[in-house]
Amino acid sequence: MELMIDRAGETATLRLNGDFTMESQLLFRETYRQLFDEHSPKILALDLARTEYLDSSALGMLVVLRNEAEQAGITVRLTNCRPFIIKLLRGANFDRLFRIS
Amino acid sequence: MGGSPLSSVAVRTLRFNAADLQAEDCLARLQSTLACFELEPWQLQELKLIVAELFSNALEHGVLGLNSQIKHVTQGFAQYLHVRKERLLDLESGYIEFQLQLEGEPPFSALRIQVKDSGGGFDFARWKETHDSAPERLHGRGLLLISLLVAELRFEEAGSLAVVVYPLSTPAPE
Repeated sequence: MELMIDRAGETATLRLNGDFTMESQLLFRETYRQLFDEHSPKILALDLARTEYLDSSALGMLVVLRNEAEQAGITVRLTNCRPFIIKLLRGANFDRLFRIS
Repeated sequence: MGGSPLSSVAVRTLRFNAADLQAEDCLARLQSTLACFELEPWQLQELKLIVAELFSNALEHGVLGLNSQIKHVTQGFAQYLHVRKERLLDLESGYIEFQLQLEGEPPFSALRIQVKDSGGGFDFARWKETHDSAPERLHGRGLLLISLLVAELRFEEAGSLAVVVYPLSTPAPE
C-alpha cells in the first residue's frame, strides 16, 4: 500500500493506493499520526478510490484511527469507496462510526 | 466455466506444515489455487478475503494459540503482531489444511472450503452468543466479514475445523 497526503484548508486527505491489510499497519499509523501532529486538520478524508481489498485487520486499524482522531477533535470520513469495500464496511456496521461515501 | 482441462479439477487440497507457515507465502499459494477454479474476478476477490480470514484465524488462534484480548490494551495491536511473529518463528510443529471443493455438476452451485488446524479449537457457540455488532470493538471481525459473503459458516471438531459454503449462483453485484 502507498499513501499520499493532500491538504486543503481544514481538511486533510489521505489517499490509499493498494490493498489495505495487516502489512500496512506501521505505515498507516505513522502517516496519520504525523499528519495529526503537524497539521491538526478538522477533517480527515480517507480516500479509498484505489483500494480494492481490505481485511479485518484494516477494519481494526480504522477503529483505532477513529479513537485517536476523536481525542484530537478530528472527524474521519471514508470517501470514494468501491462497492466491495462499502459492502464490507456496512456489514461491519461502520456506517455508525464514519460517514461513508 | 470454460472447457479447459483445469475446470474438471473439482477438489484441491493444500496442507501447510510448520515450515510452510514460517515461509509466509501461504496466502499467495491459496490464491493461485483459487485461480484454478475459473471463477469471475469479483468472486475471486471475495474468496481471497474469505480464505485470508480463515487462514489468519486458523494460524493465530489455532496453531499459535494467540488471544485477541491483547488487542484491547494501548498499543495492543502492535503487541499482538509482535507476539504473532515470535511464536511463528519458534513454531516446530502444527499444520493448517485447506480443502477446496466445487459442489454439484457444472455449472457448480457452490465452493466448499474446509480448514482444519492442529490447534485446540475454540468455543464457537460462545463466540456466536457473545458476538455483538458493536462496530467499535478491536477484534473479532474476521468471522463477521466471512459471514457477509457466504451461505454457511460453521465450526466442527471443537472449533478446529471451519466449514464455509460459498455460493456460485449469486448474480454479480451492481
